[in-house]
Amino acid sequence: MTLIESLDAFASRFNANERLRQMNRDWNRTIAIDVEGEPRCALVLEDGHMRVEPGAPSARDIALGAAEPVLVDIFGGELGPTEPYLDGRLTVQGSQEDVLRLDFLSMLIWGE
Amino acid sequence: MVSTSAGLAFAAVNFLAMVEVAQYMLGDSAWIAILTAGVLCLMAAAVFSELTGMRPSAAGIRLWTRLGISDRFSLGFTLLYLVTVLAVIAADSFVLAAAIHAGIPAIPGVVWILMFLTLVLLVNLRGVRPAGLLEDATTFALLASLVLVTAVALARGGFRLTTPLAVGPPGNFLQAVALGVFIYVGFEWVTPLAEEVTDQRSLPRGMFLALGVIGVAFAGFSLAMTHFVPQRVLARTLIPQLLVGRTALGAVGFWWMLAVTAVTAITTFNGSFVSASRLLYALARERSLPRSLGRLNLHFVPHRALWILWMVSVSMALVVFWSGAYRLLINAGATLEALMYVVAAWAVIGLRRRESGAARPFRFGRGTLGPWATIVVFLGLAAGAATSSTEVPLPSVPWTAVLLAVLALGAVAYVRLGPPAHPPPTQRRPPPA
Repeated sequence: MTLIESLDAFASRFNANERLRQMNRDWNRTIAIDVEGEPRCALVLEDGHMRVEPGAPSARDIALGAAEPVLVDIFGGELGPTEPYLDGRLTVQGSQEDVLRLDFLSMLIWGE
Repeated sequence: MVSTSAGLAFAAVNFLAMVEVAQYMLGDSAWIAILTAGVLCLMAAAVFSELTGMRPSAAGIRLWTRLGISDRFSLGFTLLYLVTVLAVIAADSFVLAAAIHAGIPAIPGVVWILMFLTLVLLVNLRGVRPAGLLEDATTFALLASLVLVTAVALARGGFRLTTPLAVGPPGNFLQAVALGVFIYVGFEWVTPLAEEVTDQRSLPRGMFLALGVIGVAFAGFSLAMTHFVPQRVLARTLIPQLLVGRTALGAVGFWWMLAVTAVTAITTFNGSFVSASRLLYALARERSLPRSLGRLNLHFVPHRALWILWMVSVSMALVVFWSGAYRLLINAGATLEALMYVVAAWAVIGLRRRESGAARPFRFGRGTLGPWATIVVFLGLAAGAATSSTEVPLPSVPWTAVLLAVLALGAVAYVRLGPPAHPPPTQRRPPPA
């Protein structure tokens, strides 16, 4: 699975979940995905809909950085974000509220 | 960052910590111990600057000690460190109750403790956070109040002081400095915000400047306090800040300092609830704590973690309120904080060895002399704080050391028997559609 495929899988599950879409209809954010420090693509949340945009985003509210396999595993549902976050493999930049909500989204989409 | 760091360290119990410091120093010389503690805390700030620059994280303490020392030690110490946060909340509640009761004696202090802690809980459960500008304004207003009251009080006394430069016996000075560290507790709680700032240099700058601001404000206030409040009154008062306020500005000064105490306590409760609940959440998500603590409510707030914090804080606050053993908490907090600095410096040394090639926007000196000096200095101060007088019955027993030993044993037992030795990576399967 490639990074874009795993992000697409994540976005598809989000968009298919009506409850999640309702909960996040006002949470418009751009989540930049950085691979080894280089911006690669972004998840864009707008009016309760999530899409994947390849390339470096023009603005970012949250940034997630890690090696590509780690990001693929996280967004593909193979690996929870907490473990790589707490062992330093996953770095996050953004407000605590946004980071918590993103973690929550991941938990609801892929389970604990 | 300066106001955030200073605001987190600015606690109502600092006034009682100053009283404790003053009792180990001669005349009006407590300010020397407070400033010395601040200068030593600069070393700790350098340690945290290196760690947070290298690995900015909201769960920094867990991450740094895990990578720099070991997973089990990290978990045990993180749990122990949470006790510092709870100790500050409980001690602040006690000060708050004493201060408001002095102004409004008709209402028992315990009512205020419950009211303020519950108010902060409810605000946090709703996910409401004060705007950054409001936080900045509050912190600067509090510091300005201290400076103003100090200046007026000292001016009224014609700036005549009693032995302001006499340090006294070295043993007493060491204990005064050790307790002085408590006044700075929390300046490093700003590091979880590392993920929110884009310029990583602002964090070290903020911590260093905050230490200077806190040191000057509280050292100055201690001068006014020791000069105008007689030693025998100081030894048994729970409201030294109100007495100084009254000396400086009469009734207006009294009520002003009462307002300062209340606002300070609320900001401490809020900052502590936010940081501790997020840490509990992170530990629950990695399955080191019960998973229910990792639940979020509709406002995306870890509500169960907050409720647990509220229950433990209220319980501790009530025990302190009825026993009056606030010194035990101050001493325990000062000891744990000093140990935190020791552990952080230890993590720096470990990370220098394990990740020698990693980028470090801030580096605490070229070799490991700085981190080692931090370990030696703060181990000494931790020993000083752990053996300070607590006014608990049987004064020959070092109750602070006993309490911390019991807590440490509890943490060790939990780490060995509670969670899995190494939580497995959270392998997941997609839930059924």
